Amino acid sequence: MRPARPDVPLVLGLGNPILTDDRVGLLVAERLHARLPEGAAALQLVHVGGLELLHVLEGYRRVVLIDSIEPGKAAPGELRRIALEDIASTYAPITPHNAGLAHCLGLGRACGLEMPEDLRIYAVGVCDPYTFSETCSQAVEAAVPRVVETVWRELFGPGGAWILQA
Amino acid sequence: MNKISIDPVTRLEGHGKIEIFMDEQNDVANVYLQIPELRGFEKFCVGRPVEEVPRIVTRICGVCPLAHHMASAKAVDAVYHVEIPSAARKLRELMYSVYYVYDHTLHFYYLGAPDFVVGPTAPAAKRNVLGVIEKVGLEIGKAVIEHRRLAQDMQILIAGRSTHPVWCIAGGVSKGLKKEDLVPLRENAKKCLEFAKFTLKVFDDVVLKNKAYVDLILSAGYRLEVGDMGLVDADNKVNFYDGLVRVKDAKGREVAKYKAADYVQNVAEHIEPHSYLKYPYLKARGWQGMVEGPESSIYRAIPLSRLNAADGMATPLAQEHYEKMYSVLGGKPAHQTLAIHWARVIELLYAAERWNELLEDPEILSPDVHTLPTEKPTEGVGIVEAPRGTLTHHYATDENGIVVKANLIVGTTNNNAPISMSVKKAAQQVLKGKRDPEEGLLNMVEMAFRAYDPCFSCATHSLPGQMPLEVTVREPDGTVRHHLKRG
Repeated sequence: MRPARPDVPLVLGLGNPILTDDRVGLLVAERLHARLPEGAAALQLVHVGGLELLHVLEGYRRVVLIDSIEPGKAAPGELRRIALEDIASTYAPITPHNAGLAHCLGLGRACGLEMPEDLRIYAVGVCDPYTFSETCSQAVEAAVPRVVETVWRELFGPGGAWILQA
Repeated sequence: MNKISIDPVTRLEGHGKIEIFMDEQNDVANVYLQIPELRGFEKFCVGRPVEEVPRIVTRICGVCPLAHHMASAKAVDAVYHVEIPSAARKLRELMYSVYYVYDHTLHFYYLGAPDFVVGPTAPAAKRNVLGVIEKVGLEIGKAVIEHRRLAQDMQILIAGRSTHPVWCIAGGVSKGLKKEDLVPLRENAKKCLEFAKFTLKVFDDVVLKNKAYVDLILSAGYRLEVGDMGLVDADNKVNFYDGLVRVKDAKGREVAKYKAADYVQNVAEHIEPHSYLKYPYLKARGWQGMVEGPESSIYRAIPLSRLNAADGMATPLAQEHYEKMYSVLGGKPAHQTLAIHWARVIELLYAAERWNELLEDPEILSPDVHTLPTEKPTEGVGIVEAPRGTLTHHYATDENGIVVKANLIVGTTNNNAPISMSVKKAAQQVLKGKRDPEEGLLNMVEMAFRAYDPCFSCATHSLPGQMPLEVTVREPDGTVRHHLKRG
């Protein structure tokens, strides 16, 4: 079994760093983590999804996950707060990519793994997550500071949802 | 003409879908597969030092990063005309065997097994790995997670990282094994071998002992008579990492056997007007359309094809199961699409055996794991068997090793035409005469698709990160007759 992880929140960025806007979750997570006191939170930048997240999430009590949301479902740069039940699915997955987060958490819990008790999901609207490039589109890039500020305020700022250990 | 769309509504929406066109008699007239493709990888590579590319390609796909890393590294070796040391070759194969254990376990238990363990027409809410656990017990779920974890940990031990390794370098690998590494590697190799044997037993108990499933596997709707491609070693046995690409036709006759550099003389890509997908085919036979038969130029590149293209497995237990499979399926070559699952678990066993074998090779601890490239770089091709099919990387550089051209044929691309053909045949069998097909029947169509373990739009997982299906049955005039959405 995995060794116990420190009781700090996990800032988890999801995305592909070389697919234009798909990298936005990574950018936000990195900058959000940089705003926090040293050692107050863990950072993971992950380029995989679905069931591969099982062991990334394991052992963390609080996780803030930042991802992109598919084009057309949100304006480029728009920040959405996603409830787990909104993305819950019990379908039969077609490929390993498509096993949803809810499915992954359900499997982990059913098998006795320590899954997060408090999972906050943020998603940023994107323009192009299909073209290989190391830079985001202008609209998405421009939104990153505002997105970081909002997530920081809601979770870690004065009166935020989470209290960090000094 | 009526139309049924099996349409993912996640990020793949509007791109990835299966469209089934029904005729006036409610029989399936045609099926088109439309899947997303990532753009601009060639352009992305051009202008970069070629030795960077094996590190970049692991980002292409969140499911098969190591396969891309290996194929890319082999292509870079070829660009630099460097022969890697024997120990490095064995270490790469060891790493790849461990990865296969990790990957094939995922597909069988999480994606393939639900259809059989829970049942093809069971409610979608139950037809997933949680349903499998409910049916066969929590212990199996825990064992799956534990053995995948072991395999992942061993990849980290060998290569420093599992998901996005930077270990393969031009001329070999960046580090060898230490003597003390052998202790956990051996211990976990044994555990994973036992687990692979157990998995074959699960397949035997759940699938082969159920006559209805065997009948389904053997039924005409799930049979596709096309050629088979796979890498073979010097004895024509299956090999995932190296060897020659061997292609047999639907009658089992060898029609091509070539080294990686010669792929362009053997494989060409056809483009259909309805899709931006490429459909690879055997160049010598020419594009004849999506037709079956001994003269077909279509081939599959999947676990079952690897077994069909080879003369056997290089390890004893896998060979036993190989022989058993062909005896049950009525001889070789086998064309039963759902038997891909069986071939996959035989490959899982082979990978676990090979992992054990390679650890006993005296060279595995050799420090001679890298040959410094000294030749002027030019052009090179690397081919490995990705879990989802033969994977080709091809790069050309200028004299400074800067990429001027790159081309990839990924595993699933090989199977674009066969997937379309298989889905069509399954739909014709399952949906025949059905005006309003229920959800379970549509899953049975999807099973033909899922058997290939298709890998699309690699490493993209924007939220909602799941792929429920939307099914639309249309009247001949295009109006919606029936709408199903699940997930």
